Amino acid sequence: MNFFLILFTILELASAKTDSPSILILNQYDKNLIDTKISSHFPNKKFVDSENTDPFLSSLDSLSNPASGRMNLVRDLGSEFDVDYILFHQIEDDSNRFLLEGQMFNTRSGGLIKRRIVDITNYYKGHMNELKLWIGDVFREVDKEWIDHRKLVLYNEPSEIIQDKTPEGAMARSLLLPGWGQFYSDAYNSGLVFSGLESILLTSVLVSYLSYNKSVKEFKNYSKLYEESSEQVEFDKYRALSNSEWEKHKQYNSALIYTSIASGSLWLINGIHAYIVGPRPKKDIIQKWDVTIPTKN
Amino acid sequence: MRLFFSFFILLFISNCTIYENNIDNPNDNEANEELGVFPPSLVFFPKQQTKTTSDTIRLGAYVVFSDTSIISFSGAHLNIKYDNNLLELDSLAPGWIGPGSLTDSNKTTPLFTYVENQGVLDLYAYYLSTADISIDSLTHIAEIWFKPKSAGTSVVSYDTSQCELIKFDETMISIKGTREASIVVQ
Repeated sequence: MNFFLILFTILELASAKTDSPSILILNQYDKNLIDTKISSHFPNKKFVDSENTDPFLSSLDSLSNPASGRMNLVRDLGSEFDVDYILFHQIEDDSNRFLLEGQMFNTRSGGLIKRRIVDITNYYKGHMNELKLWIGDVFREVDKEWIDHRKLVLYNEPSEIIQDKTPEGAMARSLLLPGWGQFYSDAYNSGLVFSGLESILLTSVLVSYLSYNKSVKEFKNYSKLYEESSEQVEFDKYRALSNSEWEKHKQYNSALIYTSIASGSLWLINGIHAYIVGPRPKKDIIQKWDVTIPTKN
Repeated sequence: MRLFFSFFILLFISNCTIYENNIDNPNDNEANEELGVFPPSLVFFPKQQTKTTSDTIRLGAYVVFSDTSIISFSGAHLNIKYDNNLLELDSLAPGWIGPGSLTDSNKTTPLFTYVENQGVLDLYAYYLSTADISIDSLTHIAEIWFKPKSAGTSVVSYDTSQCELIKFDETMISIKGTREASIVVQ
């Protein structure tokens, strides 16, 4: 009895080993870019290679349902090659960057179960490393070395990075001319708001100043005429005019003070804001890039 | 940058001035009341003038009633004092009674006489027309011309104990206040 139990266990373990999923690999890229085979990095996986990538080259996003759009094709290939999964990879080089798209299909259902698009600056053996990271992520077998290797795209010495634009530079510019620092920091909307508001306030200050001066001049003029008039009709008229201009000069003076305070405060806030939104070094200096979906070659 | 802010600070400081509205005209009852001189009052116009010894000094003598006065004013005796060491009476002219005084189209001429003695001028003006007994707030009694004798400052004032205002029926009108004039001869 014990003999049969041990034999059964051994057979069960043996059959479990053969349950390792088989994967059909379809690679669409220049083979010169990658000098080693993927299978060498995943020795416990059963990889089957095929050259015929044509059925997968049309854009997945052009299908009405990308997840199930290639169902029949995937099932047929699954039967033909007797595999559990299909992995399709496509790499496009673009000057100092490259774009990798990986698609993983289940041959039993025929559906797309995972997809990744990586658009990244090229680095030493970057193509292979990104493929490893993608496949490793699919099978949860990511090696720490691969992650560390990817850090080659980062600057080794961030302290040596020369910053053309700084928050201090943004603040100085905004204190000199409201909104300039924001424009300098590519914060165009806030730049427009600050320069617009400050223009309105400065115009108000100028208008108040000119109106105040005019009222003072008129007040002095009417006061003189009033004091020089001996006739009731005249001094009544000049008194009314003088009082009116006196009231106006008080109002314009208040307007001048309040608009100056508002303008000065906004100017200061604008400088602080420019410092806050000013350009700063990022943790991972990887240039923003508009992701493009690979199309049929 | 510093210049820019300095400009704004200077602009701000130079324009924080609120001027005082202390305009004054002795012929204006409203201004007189603010100074505590209530109508009917005797005033001179202008209140202050600066002349040279070669100039002629012109001074108007006025009675200021309130704007709503209905007093039937008919005549005045003004006792005016001045420094006769500095000023010498040159000539006199009667004023005009009636609404708007100088702008009065009737140009009512009073019975007008005066006595001058050692810096004291007594003026008498009587209005005989019954048509102009109701007057407005400002009445011009006389225009006085002085000749400067030497440099200095002279105050021309009314002696209220001697001055009189009378109604059409010859009853007295109480004088409530006076204002003097200052003449500076340079």
